[in-house]
This record gives sequence, C-alpha cells and structure tokens, in this order.
Amino acid sequence: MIQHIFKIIWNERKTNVWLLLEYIIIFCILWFCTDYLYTMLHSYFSHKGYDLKYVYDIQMQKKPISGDMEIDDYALAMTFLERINRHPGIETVAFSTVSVPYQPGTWTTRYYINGQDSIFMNDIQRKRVSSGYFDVFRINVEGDIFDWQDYTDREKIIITPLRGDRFGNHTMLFPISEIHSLDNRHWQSGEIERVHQVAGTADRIIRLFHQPAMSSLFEPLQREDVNLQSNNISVRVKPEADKGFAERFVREMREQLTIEPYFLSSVTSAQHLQTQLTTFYGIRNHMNSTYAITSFLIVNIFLGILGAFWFRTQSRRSEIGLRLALGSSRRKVQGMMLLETMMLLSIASVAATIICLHLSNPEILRMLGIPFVDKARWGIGNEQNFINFGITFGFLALISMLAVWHPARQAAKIMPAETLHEE
Amino acid sequence: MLKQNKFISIISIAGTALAIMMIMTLIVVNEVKNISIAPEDKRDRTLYITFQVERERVNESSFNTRSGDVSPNIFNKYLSDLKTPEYISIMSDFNPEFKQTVNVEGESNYFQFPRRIVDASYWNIFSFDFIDGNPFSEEDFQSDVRNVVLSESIARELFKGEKAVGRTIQINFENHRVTGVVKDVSTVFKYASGGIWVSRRSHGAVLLVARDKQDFPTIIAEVREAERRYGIENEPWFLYFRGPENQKVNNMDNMWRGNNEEEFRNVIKIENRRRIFLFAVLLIIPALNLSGFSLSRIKKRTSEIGVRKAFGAKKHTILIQVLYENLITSLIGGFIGLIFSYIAVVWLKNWLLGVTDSSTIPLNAFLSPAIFVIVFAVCVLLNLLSAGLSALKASRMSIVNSLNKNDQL
Repeated sequence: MIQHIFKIIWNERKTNVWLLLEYIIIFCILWFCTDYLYTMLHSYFSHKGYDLKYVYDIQMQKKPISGDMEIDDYALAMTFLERINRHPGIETVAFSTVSVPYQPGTWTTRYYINGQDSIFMNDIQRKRVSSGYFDVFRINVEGDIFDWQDYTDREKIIITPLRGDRFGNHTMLFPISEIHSLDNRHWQSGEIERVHQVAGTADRIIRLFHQPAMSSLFEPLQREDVNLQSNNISVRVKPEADKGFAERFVREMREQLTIEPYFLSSVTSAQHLQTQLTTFYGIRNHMNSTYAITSFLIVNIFLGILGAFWFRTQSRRSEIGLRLALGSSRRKVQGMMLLETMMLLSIASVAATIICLHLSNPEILRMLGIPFVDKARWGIGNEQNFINFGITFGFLALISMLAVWHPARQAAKIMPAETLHEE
Repeated sequence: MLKQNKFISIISIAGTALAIMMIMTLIVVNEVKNISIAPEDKRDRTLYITFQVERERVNESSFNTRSGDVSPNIFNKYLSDLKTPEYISIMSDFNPEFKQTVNVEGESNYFQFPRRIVDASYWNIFSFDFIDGNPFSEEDFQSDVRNVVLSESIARELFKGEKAVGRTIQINFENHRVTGVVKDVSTVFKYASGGIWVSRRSHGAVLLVARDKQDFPTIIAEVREAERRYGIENEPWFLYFRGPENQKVNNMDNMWRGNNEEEFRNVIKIENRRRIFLFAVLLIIPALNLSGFSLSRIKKRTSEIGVRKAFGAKKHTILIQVLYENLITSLIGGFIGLIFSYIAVVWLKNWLLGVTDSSTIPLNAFLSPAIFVIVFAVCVLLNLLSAGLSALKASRMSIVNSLNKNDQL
C-alpha cells in the first residue's frame, strides 16, 4: 500500500512539488508562530516571585498647608498604620519606595560582594521596604526578615539570587555575607559607602513579565524616609473582603484616614496597575498583535490548504472513478487519498524542520524590535523544538484531513461510469 | 466568471477580504491617530518633545542619568522662549484612570475625576467647543488664583445642571475657579482630551506649533541650540530633548526609548523596519494562497484561452483579461475587508487606539480620501501579486498546447 502511494506521489510529481513547497513554507511559518507564542505565554504565566492577587495600592495625598505647620511624617504614618489595621478587611500593610512591581521606576546601585572591591557591579535593584512587604507580596524568604523600625537592623538586607546561583551578573560566591553598596540616592551629596549584612534570601523576582529577572537587594525603609504621600502603600486584603474592596474601603475609611495634612485619595488593585504599566510599555499591544497575526496566518493557511486539495481531489475524479470501477471500495479510496496527503505532509515536515532548526536566529527578531526573543532567559531549552514540531504537525494534519476528506467523499459518491465518461 | 466555481470564488474573496481587513485596520488606526481634525486640528504643524535626558559622564562607559518628561524648570529656561514656533505649550499627561478628589466648595460630597495640568497657551493649540465661559488667559495663568475648565459631563455631575462658570471647586482640597465648560473630548486625542483642565505649570509634554510645516528644521535647530546653552550653563551635565518629533513619529509604538539622538533614530528605524515586515507578511502570505487559486482557475480555462488566441487575441490582451477578471474578486474582497476593518477599529478601539470605552472615534477619519486611495492601491497590489504569475503563464501558452489541454502549468 505505502509503496503504491509513493508511486502515485512520484507519478504526480509535477503538481506534488508545488504542494510540497506550499507545505514547507506553511510548516515553517506555523513553526515560528508556535515557537513565539510558546515563549511569550511561558514568560507571561511563569512564577514572578511574588503574588499580586488581593493586593491593593493606597494613594494618599497632601492638602495645601498654610503657614509653617510642623509635620512629623513618621508619627502620622504610625497613626495611619494603627487605623488601617483596624479595618476588618485588611490583612497586612507595607510601606516602600520604588519597590513595588506595579509602578514605574526602579533604583539601581553600584555594589561589591564580601569586601572584594574587584567585583564591582551596578545591575542590582535596590528596594527600601517595611517588614510587612514580604507578607503583602507573598515573597518567600529563607532566613530572617529585618524589623524595619529597629535601628540595630538598619544594615540587614535580603537578597534575591537568580537562576544558576547568580547574583547580579556574577556567579554567587557562597556564602554572601556582606554587600558593600554605594548609596547614590541623594545624588547632590555624592555617594556614601554602606556595608550590609545579608540576613536572608528570597526567590528571584521578575518585576514585569517581559523584562529579565534582576537581582534585588531589600533593605529596611528608614524612619526619615517614611512619608504617606511619596511612599507606596500596599495592602493585602482578606480573600473574603476582596469583592468591591476599593469602593467600600474609600467609603468607610475616608474620614478616619484624613490625617492632616494627608487624606485618602484612591485605592486601586495592584494587578490592574501592573496591567496598565505593561500596556504603557506596549507589551499588551504587542501580545494582542501577535494573537491577531497568528490567527490571520492560521485562517489563511486553512483556506490555502482547503483550496489546493479541493482542486487536486476534484481533478482526480476520473482516477477515483477508475479505481471504483476496478472494484475498490469507497472507503478504501478515501483512505488512500488521506494517507497520500499524510505522506506528503510527512515528507514536507522533515524538510521544514531542518530549515526551521537552522533558521531560528534571534538576531532577525531583535532587528525588528520584537520582545521575548531570548528564550534562555526564561529557562526554555531545546525541548521546545519537540513541542513546536508536535503542535505544527498536528495542526496541519488536522486541517489537511478536513480539506481532503470532504471532496474525496464527494468524488467517491459519483457513479464510476459518470466520471469515466468525463474523460 | 465568479459563478463558474462558486467554492473557489468564495474562498478567494474571503482570503482577499481578510488580508485587506488586516492591512486597512492598521491604516485606519494610523489615519485616526494622525489626521488633523478638531480639536487637534493643528497636528500637521506640531512638533512634540515628550522626554528629556540630563546626563553627566562618570567614566568611559557609564553616566549619571536623570530622565523623564520635560520638567517645568527646563521648559521655562530653555524652551518657552523659542522664536520660530507660533505657540509653545507644556501640558501634563492625562490618564483617565488616575483620579483626584474633587468637591464643590462648601459641600462634602466628594467625587473622583481625572485632570490635566496645562498652561494658557494650551488653549490656542486646540479648538475646543466652549459651551459656557472662556479658557483662562495668560493673566489668569500668572495670577495666584487657580483656574479650571471643566468638561461638560463633569460640570453636570458636580453642579447638577446649575451654572458652573464663576463657581469654585476644590481639587485635593485646594480652591479652583471655574472659567469655562467645554464639550467632552474623546480620549482618541492624546493631548486635547481631559476632564478637568487645571491652570498650573506642570512637567509633561511640550508641543511646538509651527506657523508652517517648512519651519520644522528651524525649530529643531533652535531646540538643539537650547540644549547647547544648557550644556554651557550646567557643566559637566548635558541635555537631550527627545525629538522634536512630528505627529507621525510621536504616535509610533515603543517611542519611549533612546537617551540620545543616535539611539532614538535607531528606535525609529527598528520601528519602521517592523512595520514593513508586518505589511509584507500581511500581503505576501495571502498572495501566495490566492495565487494557488488563480493558477488552478486558469488551468481549468486553458482551452478557452486557446480559442481566444486562435482567433487572434494578443499576449497582452490575455494578460490584461486575466488580471482584470481577478481584480473584480480583489475589489469585492477589498470592499468587504474595508467594512470589516471599520468594525474592527470601533470594536477593538481599546486596544488599537488606546481609548476608554465611552469615547467616540471621529468618523471623518474613516472617510478620508486617503483611505480609499490606499485601499484601492492595496487591492491592485494584492491582485498583481496573486494573479500576476498565472496571467503571465496564460498569456505565454502556445495555441496548440492549450487547445489540446496539454498545458504546461
């Protein structure tokens, strides 16, 4: 049977070459679509090292102050904490500066490890947070969490290494006990060297899903940096209080949280803010475009294959008629047509796979400014090629069968004499 | 002709319609973003500076960098006094979801509304439809009293139908005098949209409106001169204003990168490359598909072409006939595709135009002549790509072979 089909394919080689070419092109296109979608969705759904579900951002604003009103920001923040904790829906509260994964802005600093000044780097995100931060964002910490209000914990930090025991762009020298950093926050006053003791480590953190993971250094928020307006205030609410939390909270707490001169301005879901941020960076747009283009290509491929096989099967009606006249059953003829298609697809897929494996050059995509090209960054290895092959082949097999099955059935329905007559 | 093989005709038309829909959606979106219509009716002669970068070299490879949208100090010192532009204005960003606490003075009924902070010159750049009152003037802007213009819907909500002009509202517990009320502006207009327009100096985007497009190079040169002036006054720091970009460039995606002119030009280059790639994919893949159909269709009509040739039809007659017949399919598909692209733009405006749900899209942008010219051009191009090969083959067939159906296709 198989030999016979090969013979048919060979005899019809003139048309089959076109078909094979079409299959190879389509296979390659689908392969790259699968590859790209897989990488994109993999990064989208991978664990980011924190959890934003049930987290809200509370925005406080400052009224215009008249005269020279003395403000003790730290005391006001304590009043705020005490009042907000009384709200039944609140689980934990955190203050932080440039540290939340749903707001723009990061702060990087230069540092060196374990007193070795030869290793000097500046690819570390520095975050100043209150102790509640790790609870609010559900960050797994191994070791001790500092007490941010305790002055003796001032230099205790928590670090987040990356995959493969790297910290920053350097392979970790275990154990990291000390990190020297240059505090460059007040850029006018120059840099102050500080020595931090590593008290714990946490999972690597991916701030936004399209960006690479960067190592972080969490240090306690200092008393003098506490400010209800400029700090990010993040709260984790109890799951049962989540529904309609923002409006309810504003309604119930507006008066209590008017802590002169500060007042409650807005409460927004952290997930929503993060979505807005990725929209701003054009990533949502890019994902939508990818979906649209992929769907467009799939529909086109479907139409193309449908049209090509329709013609092919129809123009072979006389052959089918002859086969039926010579005693082949309808079922057998249909089966043969399907098998022939599958053979063609298999031949094409081998050729296309070889092409795809040689063509997958991320440089081309980078030249077009397309994100998600560096697969290794998301821990995707060669196993993806098998996934690509499986999905592409399965999909093409399915639509080819659909395209062949119907015209083959129609052709086989016709009386043999009639088709022979057409010759 | 179309009825000869209904199935294939339907598939070809559907394929064409789909391709045209995708391409036209991109073009319509671009048109909506770039066309000069009220209130942003000076888009064609506006230059935008949306980002400033201040840097100081630390060593060979690293800089100290401060960057963000244009700061009020820098604007006052280096941009506000440019000579050539007709109008110069700095305005804050407008994010409809970032709301302020607002109440009518003396009432404790608090609302949440978004705002845009603008200067007096802002009102010259856009043509707003004032229902009541006036924009605030330069004197109002300089005075200690804060002034605001409200959108119609916000004025209605705040004052419940009473006259708003002349009243005082509080924004974040600070008093503001209402000077005017304007018709709501769709968020399609990135710079004209707003809910409450507050008179104050803000950081944000700088718009430079030229008297004429031809002044653009002069204005850009003036901006570069301002950067040099900063460099002299602030050694060792130096300054870069991103752009100034025209409307088209300002509306491209991914335009928030680049710390100097070179990097920024590169970002634009990449973005252009990406667009060309996208259009190529949207044209070539369906063309490949459709050319398969037209080849098979011609194959079926080999004998007809043979007869025509036998009766004296010339090569180019056959060529034009095949192309012309195919163009009919393309145009039908193109028309359907254009309609669908309108539907897509309206339906997906959140994603495609970045507008909020309640906003309307200016319909004039849909019916601009440019769009119809482009859709026709795309149809012809797609037609050439998809039927060109088969038409050429058909015209080259020898009479005897085609009459015998002994075709070489």
